[in-house]
Amino acid sequence: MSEIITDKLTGKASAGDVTITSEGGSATMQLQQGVAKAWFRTFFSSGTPTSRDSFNIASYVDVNTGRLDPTFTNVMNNDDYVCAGNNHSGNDVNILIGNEASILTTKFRWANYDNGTYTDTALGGIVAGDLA
Amino acid sequence: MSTLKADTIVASDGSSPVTLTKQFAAKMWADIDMTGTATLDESGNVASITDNGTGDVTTSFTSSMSDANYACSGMTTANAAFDDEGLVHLNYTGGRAAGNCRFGVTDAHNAADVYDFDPVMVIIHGDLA
Repeated sequence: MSEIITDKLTGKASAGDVTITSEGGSATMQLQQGVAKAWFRTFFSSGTPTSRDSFNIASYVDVNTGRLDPTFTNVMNNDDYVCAGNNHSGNDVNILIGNEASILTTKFRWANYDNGTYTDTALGGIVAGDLA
Repeated sequence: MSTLKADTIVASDGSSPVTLTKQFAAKMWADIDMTGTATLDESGNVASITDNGTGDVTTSFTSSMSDANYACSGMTTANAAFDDEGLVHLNYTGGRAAGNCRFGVTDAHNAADVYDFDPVMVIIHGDLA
Protein backbone atom coordinates (compact mmCIF):
# COMPACT_ATOMS: atom_id res chain seq x y z
CA MET A 1 0.00 0.00 0.00
CA SER A 2 1.28 3.41 -0.94
CA GLU A 3 0.75 6.35 1.35
CA ILE A 4 0.93 10.09 0.77
CA ILE A 5 1.77 12.14 3.81
CA THR A 6 0.75 15.76 3.42
CA ASP A 7 -0.79 18.54 5.48
CA LYS A 8 -3.14 19.96 2.89
CA LEU A 9 -5.15 18.80 -0.13
CA THR A 10 -6.03 21.35 -2.82
CA GLY A 11 -7.82 20.80 -6.13
CA LYS A 12 -5.47 21.35 -9.08
CA ALA A 13 -8.06 22.75 -11.53
CA SER A 14 -10.30 24.24 -8.85
CA ALA A 15 -8.94 24.67 -5.34
CA GLY A 16 -12.19 23.61 -3.66
CA ASP A 17 -12.85 20.50 -5.75
CA VAL A 18 -11.11 17.19 -5.05
CA THR A 19 -12.78 14.02 -6.35
CA ILE A 20 -12.60 10.67 -4.57
CA THR A 21 -13.77 7.22 -5.69
CA SER A 22 -16.63 5.46 -3.89
CA GLU A 23 -16.16 2.38 -1.68
CA GLY A 24 -17.64 0.15 -4.40
CA GLY A 25 -15.62 1.80 -7.14
CA SER A 26 -18.61 2.61 -9.37
CA ALA A 27 -19.04 6.27 -8.49
CA THR A 28 -17.06 9.36 -7.65
CA MET A 29 -17.92 12.18 -5.29
CA GLN A 30 -16.54 15.54 -4.33
CA LEU A 31 -14.56 15.16 -1.12
CA GLN A 32 -15.56 18.58 0.16
CA GLN A 33 -19.29 17.76 -0.13
CA GLY A 34 -19.03 14.88 2.30
CA VAL A 35 -16.90 16.41 5.01
CA ALA A 36 -18.70 17.69 8.10
CA LYS A 37 -18.48 21.48 8.25
CA ALA A 38 -19.07 21.76 11.99
CA TRP A 39 -19.82 19.61 15.02
CA PHE A 40 -20.25 20.37 18.67
CA ARG A 41 -20.98 18.88 22.06
CA THR A 42 -22.14 21.27 24.72
CA PHE A 43 -23.84 21.38 28.07
CA PHE A 44 -25.42 24.08 30.20
CA SER A 45 -23.37 25.23 33.18
CA SER A 46 -25.67 27.18 35.50
CA GLY A 47 -27.81 27.93 32.46
CA THR A 48 -24.92 29.04 30.22
CA PRO A 49 -24.07 26.94 27.14
CA THR A 50 -20.55 25.59 27.64
CA SER A 51 -18.48 23.67 25.10
CA ARG A 52 -17.07 20.22 25.80
CA ASP A 53 -15.57 19.96 22.33
CA SER A 54 -16.31 21.28 18.88
CA PHE A 55 -15.10 21.92 15.34
CA ASN A 56 -15.67 25.20 13.46
CA ILE A 57 -17.75 26.60 16.32
CA ALA A 58 -16.51 29.98 17.57
CA SER A 59 -18.97 30.54 20.39
CA TYR A 60 -22.52 30.03 21.61
CA VAL A 61 -25.16 32.74 21.96
CA ASP A 62 -27.29 32.02 25.01
CA VAL A 63 -30.69 32.99 23.61
CA ASN A 64 -32.81 31.89 26.55
CA THR A 65 -33.58 28.76 28.53
CA GLY A 66 -33.21 25.73 26.26
CA ARG A 67 -32.26 27.85 23.26
CA LEU A 68 -28.80 28.59 21.91
CA ASP A 69 -27.16 29.77 18.69
CA PRO A 70 -23.84 28.05 17.87
CA THR A 71 -21.85 30.51 15.71
CA PHE A 72 -19.41 29.39 13.03
CA THR A 73 -15.71 30.26 12.88
CA ASN A 74 -15.80 29.84 9.09
CA VAL A 75 -19.25 30.79 7.82
CA MET A 76 -21.44 28.75 5.47
CA ASN A 77 -21.96 29.69 1.83
CA ASN A 78 -25.72 30.19 2.28
CA ASP A 79 -28.48 29.24 4.69
CA ASP A 80 -29.45 26.04 2.84
CA TYR A 81 -27.39 23.64 4.93
CA VAL A 82 -28.43 20.78 7.18
CA CYS A 83 -28.05 20.01 10.89
CA ALA A 84 -28.62 16.83 12.85
CA GLY A 85 -28.17 16.10 16.53
CA ASN A 86 -29.40 14.65 19.77
CA ASN A 87 -29.69 15.65 23.38
CA HIS A 88 -27.94 13.73 26.12
CA SER A 89 -30.44 13.84 28.94
CA GLY A 90 -31.99 10.41 28.50
CA ASN A 91 -35.37 12.01 29.02
CA ASP A 92 -38.14 12.75 26.56
CA VAL A 93 -36.53 15.92 25.20
CA ASN A 94 -36.38 16.77 21.53
CA ILE A 95 -33.83 18.93 19.77
CA LEU A 96 -35.49 21.21 17.29
CA ILE A 97 -33.86 23.66 14.98
CA GLY A 98 -35.32 27.14 14.89
CA ASN A 99 -37.51 28.37 12.09
CA GLU A 100 -36.05 29.17 8.67
CA ALA A 101 -35.39 32.79 9.68
CA SER A 102 -32.98 31.72 12.43
CA ILE A 103 -30.83 29.54 10.16
CA LEU A 104 -28.11 31.95 8.99
CA THR A 105 -24.73 31.64 7.30
CA THR A 106 -23.11 32.71 10.56
CA LYS A 107 -25.11 30.73 13.12
CA PHE A 108 -28.17 28.55 13.65
CA ARG A 109 -30.82 28.21 16.36
CA TRP A 110 -31.17 25.01 18.40
CA ALA A 111 -33.96 24.49 20.90
CA ASN A 112 -34.56 21.81 23.49
CA TYR A 113 -38.28 21.57 23.91
CA ASP A 114 -40.10 19.01 26.01
CA ASN A 115 -43.87 19.01 25.65
CA GLY A 116 -44.39 22.68 26.41
CA THR A 117 -41.20 23.65 28.26
CA TYR A 118 -37.75 24.71 27.09
CA THR A 119 -35.04 22.87 29.00
CA ASP A 120 -31.27 23.39 29.41
CA THR A 121 -30.15 19.94 28.30
CA ALA A 122 -26.72 18.78 27.10
CA LEU A 123 -26.69 18.25 23.36
CA GLY A 124 -24.51 17.60 20.35
CA GLY A 125 -24.84 18.03 16.61
CA ILE A 126 -23.26 18.02 13.19
CA VAL A 127 -23.56 20.35 10.17
CA ALA A 128 -23.26 19.45 6.48
CA GLY A 129 -23.41 21.78 3.49
CA ASP A 130 -21.22 24.27 1.68
CA LEU A 131 -18.69 26.55 3.36
CA ALA A 132 -18.24 30.06 1.95
CA MET B 1 3.24 22.60 5.63
CA SER B 2 3.13 20.61 2.39
CA THR B 3 0.25 20.88 -0.10
CA LEU B 4 -0.80 18.13 -2.50
CA LYS B 5 -2.64 19.48 -5.56
CA ALA B 6 -4.80 16.95 -7.42
CA ASP B 7 -8.29 16.78 -8.94
CA THR B 8 -8.95 13.10 -8.30
CA ILE B 9 -7.54 10.77 -5.65
CA VAL B 10 -7.75 6.99 -6.00
CA ALA B 11 -5.88 4.09 -4.45
CA SER B 12 -2.62 2.93 -5.98
CA ASP B 13 -4.42 0.24 -8.05
CA GLY B 14 -6.00 3.04 -10.07
CA SER B 15 -9.64 2.44 -9.11
CA SER B 16 -10.20 1.58 -5.44
CA PRO B 17 -11.11 4.27 -2.91
CA VAL B 18 -8.38 5.82 -0.82
CA THR B 19 -8.38 5.57 2.95
CA LEU B 20 -8.98 8.91 4.64
CA THR B 21 -7.39 8.57 8.05
CA LYS B 22 -9.84 9.35 10.86
CA GLN B 23 -12.43 10.74 8.42
CA PHE B 24 -15.77 9.43 7.18
CA ALA B 25 -17.45 11.56 4.53
CA ALA B 26 -21.22 12.01 4.39
CA LYS B 27 -22.65 10.45 1.25
CA MET B 28 -25.84 12.52 1.02
CA TRP B 29 -27.28 15.64 2.59
CA ALA B 30 -30.49 17.47 1.81
CA ASP B 31 -32.24 20.65 2.96
CA ILE B 32 -35.92 20.18 2.06
CA ASP B 33 -38.94 22.49 2.20
CA MET B 34 -41.84 20.05 2.63
CA THR B 35 -44.60 22.69 2.59
CA GLY B 36 -47.02 22.17 -0.28
CA THR B 37 -45.20 20.12 -2.88
CA ALA B 38 -41.81 19.33 -1.36
CA THR B 39 -38.86 21.16 -2.93
CA LEU B 40 -35.13 20.78 -2.54
CA ASP B 41 -33.47 23.93 -1.20
CA GLU B 42 -29.94 22.53 -1.52
CA SER B 43 -28.29 19.13 -1.40
CA GLY B 44 -25.36 16.85 -2.12
CA ASN B 45 -25.80 13.57 -4.08
CA VAL B 46 -29.56 14.01 -4.51
CA ALA B 47 -30.97 13.49 -8.02
CA SER B 48 -34.58 14.27 -7.14
CA ILE B 49 -37.20 14.14 -4.41
CA THR B 50 -40.72 12.74 -4.51
CA ASP B 51 -43.57 14.14 -2.44
CA ASN B 52 -45.58 11.09 -1.35
CA GLY B 53 -48.08 13.10 0.67
CA THR B 54 -48.13 15.16 3.85
CA GLY B 55 -44.96 14.59 5.87
CA ASP B 56 -43.73 11.88 3.49
CA VAL B 57 -40.81 12.37 1.08
CA THR B 58 -38.45 10.10 -0.88
CA THR B 59 -34.95 11.32 -1.77
CA SER B 60 -33.37 9.58 -4.79
CA PHE B 61 -29.59 9.49 -4.94
CA THR B 62 -27.43 10.52 -7.88
CA SER B 63 -24.85 7.88 -6.94
CA SER B 64 -26.43 4.87 -5.22
CA MET B 65 -25.34 3.38 -1.92
CA SER B 66 -23.80 -0.12 -1.96
CA ASP B 67 -26.83 -1.55 -0.11
CA ALA B 68 -29.64 -0.49 2.25
CA ASN B 69 -27.51 -0.77 5.38
CA TYR B 70 -26.56 2.87 5.86
CA ALA B 71 -27.14 5.42 8.59
CA CYS B 72 -29.56 8.33 8.36
CA SER B 73 -30.02 11.26 10.71
CA GLY B 74 -32.41 14.15 10.46
CA MET B 75 -33.79 17.23 12.15
CA THR B 76 -36.66 19.61 11.65
CA THR B 77 -38.54 22.32 13.48
CA ALA B 78 -41.91 22.73 15.23
CA ASN B 79 -45.10 24.61 14.54
CA ALA B 80 -45.38 28.26 15.56
CA ALA B 81 -47.23 27.42 18.79
CA PHE B 82 -44.57 24.83 19.66
CA ASP B 83 -47.25 22.33 20.60
CA ASP B 84 -46.30 20.06 17.69
CA GLU B 85 -42.62 19.07 17.74
CA GLY B 86 -41.35 17.68 14.47
CA LEU B 87 -39.61 14.31 14.48
CA VAL B 88 -37.86 12.99 11.34
CA HIS B 89 -38.12 9.20 10.96
CA LEU B 90 -37.69 6.50 8.34
CA ASN B 91 -40.84 5.44 6.53
CA TYR B 92 -42.69 2.60 8.30
CA THR B 93 -41.86 0.25 5.41
CA GLY B 94 -38.20 0.54 6.31
CA GLY B 95 -37.41 3.52 4.17
CA ARG B 96 -33.90 2.60 3.06
CA ALA B 97 -32.96 1.30 -0.38
CA ALA B 98 -29.67 1.50 -2.24
CA GLY B 99 -31.01 4.12 -4.62
CA ASN B 100 -33.24 6.16 -2.34
CA CYS B 101 -34.39 6.88 1.19
CA ARG B 102 -38.00 7.54 2.22
CA PHE B 103 -38.68 9.38 5.44
CA GLY B 104 -41.43 11.26 7.18
CA VAL B 105 -42.14 13.97 9.72
CA THR B 106 -44.58 13.45 12.60
CA ASP B 107 -45.37 15.02 15.95
CA ALA B 108 -42.85 13.60 18.43
CA HIS B 109 -45.69 13.03 20.91
CA ASN B 110 -48.30 11.71 18.48
CA ALA B 111 -47.04 9.71 15.51
CA ALA B 112 -50.49 9.88 13.92
CA ASP B 113 -50.00 13.60 13.24
CA VAL B 114 -47.96 14.18 10.08
CA TYR B 115 -46.53 17.53 8.99
CA ASP B 116 -44.97 19.35 6.07
CA PHE B 117 -42.31 21.37 7.90
CA ASP B 118 -39.61 23.71 6.57
CA PRO B 119 -36.72 23.09 6.88
CA VAL B 120 -36.34 19.31 7.05
CA MET B 121 -32.69 18.25 7.10
CA VAL B 122 -31.28 14.77 6.41
CA ILE B 123 -27.70 13.42 6.36
CA ILE B 124 -26.60 9.91 5.31
CA HIS B 125 -23.36 8.09 6.10
CA GLY B 126 -22.36 4.70 4.72
CA ASP B 127 -20.79 3.14 1.63
CA LEU B 128 -21.45 4.20 -1.93
CA ALA B 129 -21.75 1.52 -4.61
